[in-house]
Amino acid sequence: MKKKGRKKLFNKNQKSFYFEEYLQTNEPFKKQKKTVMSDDRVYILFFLFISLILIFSISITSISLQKSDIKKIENTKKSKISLRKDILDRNGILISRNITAYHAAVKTSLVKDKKKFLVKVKLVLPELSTQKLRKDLNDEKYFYLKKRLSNDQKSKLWSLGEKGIIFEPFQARVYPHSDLYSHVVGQIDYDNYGISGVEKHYDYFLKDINNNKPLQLSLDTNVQFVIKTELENSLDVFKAKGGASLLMDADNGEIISLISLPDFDINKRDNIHNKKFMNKITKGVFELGSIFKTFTIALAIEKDLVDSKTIIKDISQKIKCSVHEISDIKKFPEEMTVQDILVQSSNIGTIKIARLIGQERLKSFLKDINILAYPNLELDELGRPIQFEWTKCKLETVSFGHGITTTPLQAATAYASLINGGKLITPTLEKGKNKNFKPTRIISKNTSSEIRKILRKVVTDEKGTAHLADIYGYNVAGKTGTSQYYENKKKNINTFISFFSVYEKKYVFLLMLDDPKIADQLIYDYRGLKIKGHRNEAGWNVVYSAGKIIEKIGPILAINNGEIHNQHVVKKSN
Amino acid sequence: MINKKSLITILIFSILLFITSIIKNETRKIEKNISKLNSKIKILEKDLYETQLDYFYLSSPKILSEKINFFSNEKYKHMNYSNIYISLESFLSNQNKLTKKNNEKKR
Repeated sequence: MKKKGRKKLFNKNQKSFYFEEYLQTNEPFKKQKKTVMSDDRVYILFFLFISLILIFSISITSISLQKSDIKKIENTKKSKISLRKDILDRNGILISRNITAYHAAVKTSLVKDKKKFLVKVKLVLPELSTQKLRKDLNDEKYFYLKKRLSNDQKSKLWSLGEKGIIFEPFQARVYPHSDLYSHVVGQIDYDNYGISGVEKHYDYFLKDINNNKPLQLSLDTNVQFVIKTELENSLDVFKAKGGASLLMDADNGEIISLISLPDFDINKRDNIHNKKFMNKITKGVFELGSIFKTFTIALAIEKDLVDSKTIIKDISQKIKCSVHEISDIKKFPEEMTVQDILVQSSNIGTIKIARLIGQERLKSFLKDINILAYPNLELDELGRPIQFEWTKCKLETVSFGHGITTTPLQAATAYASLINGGKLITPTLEKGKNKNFKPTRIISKNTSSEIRKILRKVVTDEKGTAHLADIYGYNVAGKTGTSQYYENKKKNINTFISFFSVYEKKYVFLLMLDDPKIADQLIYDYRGLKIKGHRNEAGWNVVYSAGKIIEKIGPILAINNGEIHNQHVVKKSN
Repeated sequence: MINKKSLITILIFSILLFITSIIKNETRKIEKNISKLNSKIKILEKDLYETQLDYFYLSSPKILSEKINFFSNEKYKHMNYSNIYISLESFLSNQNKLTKKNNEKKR
């Protein structure tokens, strides 16, 4: 069967099995088969080639579409540098900045000899409680040894060579001027959230790191330092419990300096509960005394009821109002001009003028100048003046500044509005914020000019209460206010709200001393006479200190005056 | 069979692909260099950032006044208003006034 099958398959034309392809008879069939095969191979090759090209092109496209690593690196580094923007003063001086600091934590599983570890750590950080530390170590947990290490503590802990101590990096806020801006700048917590001051108010802006623009305040570091140093001296000389000052540009409301003493170092995180550390300028609500007389007289002039030369008659030494008796601290003539009433600070004279004005008009004016409203400033530490009913005698007492309270910030702002030509300004801590602000008018230019002249007389007049602040060149003017503590009439809060000009630019300067004493060791230069300190009113302490301060800050303000600076100081040849 | 046109197209495509890969390679090299330079810049920026902080701390009025008191015996006084001249003209006019006053006194 097998042989037969073989025979059937056998080709009779085939001469040899090995030379089959050379047979003439098989040629056309073979040729056809060969071309079909080569075509297949080319197609396969072509397919492979196309596939390779496709793979390459896809990979190239995908690589091209990938974002470069550089941007990733940039973003990570950026976030590492700072999570919060800088705060600068008006001249570009740094006030606060974020840096990388460290917490020291302990990974107990990596601590081999716990007793030795405890001794070593106690040597570096003796303030830590041994019991607590031992307990934490025995708990076998991850715990914080100390948060916010100083550089010195970190290097000492590092040199212990303990594997169990982990240094956790975090962003800390640093204030290079320590206590200079403590009441303004405020602080942040460990999670970079502002908890007080400007840090809290501008928290959202400061955390927006996509916008590189730092926060520029209207404060001037050099002026702030000079005022603070002088105020500290005043506290020392007059043995005062505290003090505060505010310097404001009268035209745009920019605050150039704000100080409240005692203050504290904002680089240290302490829980401060004592009231004496309160911001006296913005949070403190005081009865500021005679400085209110200026408002009464400004309103009377504005309403054309009087002018500065109008004579007020029948000024008695005492006046009865309901069951109360109001008097002046010294004897005044029975007839005085309006100007003299303010210059010599007569309570009875002011009451007489207030009665001409009437309660409703005075009430409305005080509302217009925002004396009794909630203050408006870029801080959260603000005090609300005590609200009261306009009962019997309120017109009389309010007219000379008794029975009415406000914050020094609001009093200074009202003064700025009275002397800048009558435009009501809004105080601000941000440089350039009020550039396009359109103020409303509270008094006319003429009234403003009259008030400026009368307040200048308070400083220059023989009987004026603020002669010690008459500094040559700055045309200092202002009004003093002496008020007693409610619970202790022997203790005073003395205030002087002044304004002065430096090359046509007007500044309002408020200075306040809390409970100053008579400086019997101090020799005053009073109208050419050398006299020893013997009195305790504002004119003998707070005015004296204000004069010293204006004398020192005047040259700085003159040089920093933008217009003058551009015209005369900076002149580039190229 | 594959026609001539498609062959040329494939050829051009593959040449372009080859060139693209070369360019891409070169770009990657440049990118690496940029990345290196960027990291160097970042380090410098960080240094500058910390140095600035040191500068502002050391040049703060408090530290400067402490250093002046420590290193020098000289006492610095504030400038009087009469000594501030905002321009040469104001200085000259003031000097003229003073000279006139002095001359009048001499007479």
